[in-house]
Amino acid sequence: MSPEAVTPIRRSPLESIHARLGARWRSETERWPVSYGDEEDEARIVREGIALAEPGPYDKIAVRGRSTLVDLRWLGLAAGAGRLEPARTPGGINAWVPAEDEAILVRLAGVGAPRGRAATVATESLAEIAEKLRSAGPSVTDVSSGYTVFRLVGPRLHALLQELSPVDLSARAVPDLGIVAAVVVGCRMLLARRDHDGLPGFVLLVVRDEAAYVWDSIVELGATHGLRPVGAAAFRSPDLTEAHGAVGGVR
Amino acid sequence: MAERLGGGGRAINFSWNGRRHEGRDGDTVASALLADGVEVLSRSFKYHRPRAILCDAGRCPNCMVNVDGIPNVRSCVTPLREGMDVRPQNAWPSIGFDVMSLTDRFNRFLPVGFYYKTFIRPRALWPLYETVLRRAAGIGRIDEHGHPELHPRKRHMFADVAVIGGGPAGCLAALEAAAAGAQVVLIDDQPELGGHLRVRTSEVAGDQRLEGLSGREAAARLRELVAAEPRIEHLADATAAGLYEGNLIGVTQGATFVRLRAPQIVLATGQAERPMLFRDNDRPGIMLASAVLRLVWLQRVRPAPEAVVLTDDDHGWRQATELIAAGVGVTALVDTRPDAAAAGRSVPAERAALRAAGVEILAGARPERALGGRHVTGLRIHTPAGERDLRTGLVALAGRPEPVLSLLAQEGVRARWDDQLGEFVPGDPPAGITVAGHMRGAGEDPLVLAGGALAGRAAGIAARGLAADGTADRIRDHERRVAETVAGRTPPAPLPRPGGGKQFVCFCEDVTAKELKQGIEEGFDTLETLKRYSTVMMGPCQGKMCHGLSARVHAGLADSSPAVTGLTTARPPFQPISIAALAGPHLSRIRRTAMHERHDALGAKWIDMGDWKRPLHYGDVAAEVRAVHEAVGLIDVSTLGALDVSGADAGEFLDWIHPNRFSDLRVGRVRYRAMLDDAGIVIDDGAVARLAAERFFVSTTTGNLDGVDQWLRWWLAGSQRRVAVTDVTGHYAAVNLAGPRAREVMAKVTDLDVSRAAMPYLAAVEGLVAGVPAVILRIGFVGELGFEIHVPADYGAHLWDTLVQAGRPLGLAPFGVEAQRVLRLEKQHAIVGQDTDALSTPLEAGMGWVVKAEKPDFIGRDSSAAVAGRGPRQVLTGFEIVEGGVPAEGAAIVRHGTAIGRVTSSKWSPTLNRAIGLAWLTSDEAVEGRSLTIRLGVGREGQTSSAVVRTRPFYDPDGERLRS
Repeated sequence: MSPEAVTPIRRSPLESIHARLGARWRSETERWPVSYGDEEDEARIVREGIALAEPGPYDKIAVRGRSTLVDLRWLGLAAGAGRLEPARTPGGINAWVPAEDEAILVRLAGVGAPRGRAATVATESLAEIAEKLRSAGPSVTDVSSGYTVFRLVGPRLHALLQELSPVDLSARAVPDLGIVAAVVVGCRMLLARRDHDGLPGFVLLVVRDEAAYVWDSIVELGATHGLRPVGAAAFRSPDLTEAHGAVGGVR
Repeated sequence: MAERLGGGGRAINFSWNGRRHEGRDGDTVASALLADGVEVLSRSFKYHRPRAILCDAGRCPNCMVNVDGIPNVRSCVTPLREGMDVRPQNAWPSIGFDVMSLTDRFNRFLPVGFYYKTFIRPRALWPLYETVLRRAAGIGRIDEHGHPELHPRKRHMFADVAVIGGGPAGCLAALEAAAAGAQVVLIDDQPELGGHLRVRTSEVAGDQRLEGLSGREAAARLRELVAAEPRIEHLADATAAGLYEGNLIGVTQGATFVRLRAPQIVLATGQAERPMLFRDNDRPGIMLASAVLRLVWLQRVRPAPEAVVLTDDDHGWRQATELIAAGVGVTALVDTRPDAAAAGRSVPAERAALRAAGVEILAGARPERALGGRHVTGLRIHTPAGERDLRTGLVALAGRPEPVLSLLAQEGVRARWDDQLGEFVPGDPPAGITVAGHMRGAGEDPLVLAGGALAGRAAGIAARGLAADGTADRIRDHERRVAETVAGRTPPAPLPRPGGGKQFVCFCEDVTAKELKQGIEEGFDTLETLKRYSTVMMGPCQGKMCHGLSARVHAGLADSSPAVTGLTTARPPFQPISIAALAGPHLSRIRRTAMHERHDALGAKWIDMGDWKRPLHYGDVAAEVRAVHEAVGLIDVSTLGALDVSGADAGEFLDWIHPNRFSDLRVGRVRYRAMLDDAGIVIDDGAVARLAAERFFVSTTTGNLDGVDQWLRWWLAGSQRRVAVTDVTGHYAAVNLAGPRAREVMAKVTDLDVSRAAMPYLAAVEGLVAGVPAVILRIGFVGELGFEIHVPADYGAHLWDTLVQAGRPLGLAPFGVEAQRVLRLEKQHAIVGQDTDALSTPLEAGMGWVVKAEKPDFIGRDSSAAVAGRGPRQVLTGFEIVEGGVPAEGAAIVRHGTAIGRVTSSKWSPTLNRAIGLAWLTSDEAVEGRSLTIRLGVGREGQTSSAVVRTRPFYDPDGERLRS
């Protein structure tokens, strides 16, 4: 076997769970579910119950240092601490900025500067952004596999959140795009409120090792609230920028 | 004889003690049984006396039954359901004839505390005594083999204002708080709001919204108002069981346990009637007046056509009027107070109406005893004119209600005895908690309603941080009116000194006034010690029915005042809670590596290491050991902690954290790290790889990641060092490829030069492995040529698959933690935390070389220098068993009967064909070849093994294979 012959396969931490649910993969080398078979039904779950999804894959870099927020502002990636700065263009970078000295930049994998076009912050690869940040001072570390992203959306979400976490995650306590560090089903994580089409929603940044446990727990506790797993297509796009339609091979 | 009123709802079939019964929709289990002719629901705790409905509000123990296998269900508040299997408990052979009721006849031989005194000798028989006593006493029994479908759930709620109590004061408090813009949670232990108004017909006065309505109409109006207010969430059938620091309220609602936090809490838990003291006051047919009203109005069951009402307060006169309105005739009202006119106090307003209804009013009368056996047939009273028997099948107890203070007391607020009121009243609550309604002691409608509304308004304003609007002035005015009203009240009649017979103070534990007297005479003369000696107030009701009464009885017996006696400490829960509801989630946190599914497919036997799941072995440990030594093994080491330590000062920072040096580590090299605390104790170890000038990759032991991460951040806090620490444990999946053929496998999966020259021992290289960016460290823990490969965890399974496929022709075998433990013992590699403890210094643990005393400073330097100065007192060293079994970890090593050390690790080595291990020995004993005697430990007491000390690794002592 020659090293060249090996095609790396990037796997969700929940690959086997998704497979048991009948996942249709994003691609053979990126094992994240686009749907579990019935996209319309999954879209209905989003509107009527509670949808739990693991869209992806996302690349992520952790940025740490006293000047983190200043440097992100300089790059136009964040305005303030304590909130999620959503990407402004399809495939752009979502900046999670829980504090002034730390941030996690998240972007759908495989997105970079389109050929023949000048790179802007919106289209630069994370590696390029990382280099710029490093040169400015903060420490930058690739944590792409360190976390996975869960989405929870649906009109009945509030009642479920009351069971999942001892932290107040109501709309009053966490406004849209607000970030909170919380314990969810016993695991520490960052959550950002990210409503979807007027429906309450959260994005969860879950430590990879705990992802299967967190997923199983949410599914079990959510069953009585009408929760069901859905694929990324249920949201039209796995891109957290949301409003920009098809990105990254979905649809 | 009880009878059902009206047609009732649809029929519901259920069984009692195996026999079929029929109830109606709206019934509780107890009301259905009562209406169907079953009065006795339980047998008492100690004397096995028949007990029937007393409170009908879920407070007392009298109605506890087994429902569908679940013991201690309060049948008076449990809605009847089709097919329920209801059974009595604590009775044998039947509820009707209970053999243990003989104890009631021989109680003179069972004085208070008798079992403390009687069953202490001979000591060896205590297990037998205990078994018999537990069978004889006690209440429901848990089916240890059953699996009741409890489905406990947890819920975390947050509100601006929490109102506890759904009576009129609570409802108005919630409405006013919501009107101030606050989000309100209203907790009530009843299925519907309204409190006592639900069973009251007299007109309500004092609030515009309820003016002119009867009590029952007012309750309905309050329900409508609350339901229409979107800012109020009503938790029905929910009990606030505990009030904790930080305004945390523990609430049980069915199988759900709610943790509610609110910056403002309004306590409106009201007041409740309590039993009164006279001989045989526990006879079936004696119940609280409020219970009679609840049965009639809420469950449509009339327990008897007529009743005698017993009271010591004007409250009894009102209740007598309500009973008549409810269709229960009152033949006599017995008031223990002297006649009002003669005593110079105002005559109760109800007197004329009661007389007109034919009620005989007996003032200044004292109840002597209940008549009858299995059911009350009358009440013997002592009047100024002499003794008299009142014939009746129902005695309604309507003594002065007591404020329900338990929740407030849980917050540490001591209740205060009010001589004027003759009852305990709440002390000053802490900030953020307001007391309202009947709890305040002034029971007149206008004060109760206004107090609730004002408390709610004030709480809403405070929670929302709104500007003052005059509410504070109105509250002050209200407080003044309450004080004036209280000053005009007359206390209830004092309790008579207990006479003969059984006058039950505590229904849960069958404690009588006479037993309290005995306890006091034996020296348990404070209420707290008397409680522990007699167990009064320690039953399922937790004092709800007897707390105030106990204090008053105690004060009377001790010739003291309740003001001096006080109340005992209140602790959660206010109402019994199932352990299941309190238990943590049944889901326990699990961490899985990226290769988890691969291990599962290989048939791994799992071991829990902290939260991690790790493969212990794949079926044959010896074969796994052999593969590592003879071919190549593959182990998942993703659970090792990994930290990215970056920045211009990272090297200098690591120098400070560790006893050895890292600032001089060349890029591309790895160095062992041992971390010490301030006392020079080894707290972690691992490796540090320098991947770039300002970037270090630091590995930790599996269990210490969080501790090391926090330790580093703690030392960085406030420091000017330009260093960032990032936990990258989850980002990387890691394997160790170990064995003489490991290099051949590596060559098949990477284009990197993996030769000994290009990638020597302790090299650190970044490059593609299996097409994936990887960090490769030339280190190992198992004594063979090893490559520790770290890749992004999303590619972990891919790396595993690729290595297995490439290595299979070369004899590759996955190995687990057990094989790793054997292999590392062969090398005498210590595991921090297993072979070291809270006293282990590097010098004594065989890591002395790691301490660079010439460094100007590092954490633990002074302590290390001190240990070096005095020399090691104990030493971690190897041993091998010469004769005998493999000792347990922790086994003692002895010489002439004196301990000289202990085993920390021991295994059978298939390579060496003998048992080996590591042990702490006193330094004078840690001499190569010294004979040892090891006690084998628990389960093998008296057995020993012979061993000898081995100070050098058992396998490849010079490390040639590791460095190859």
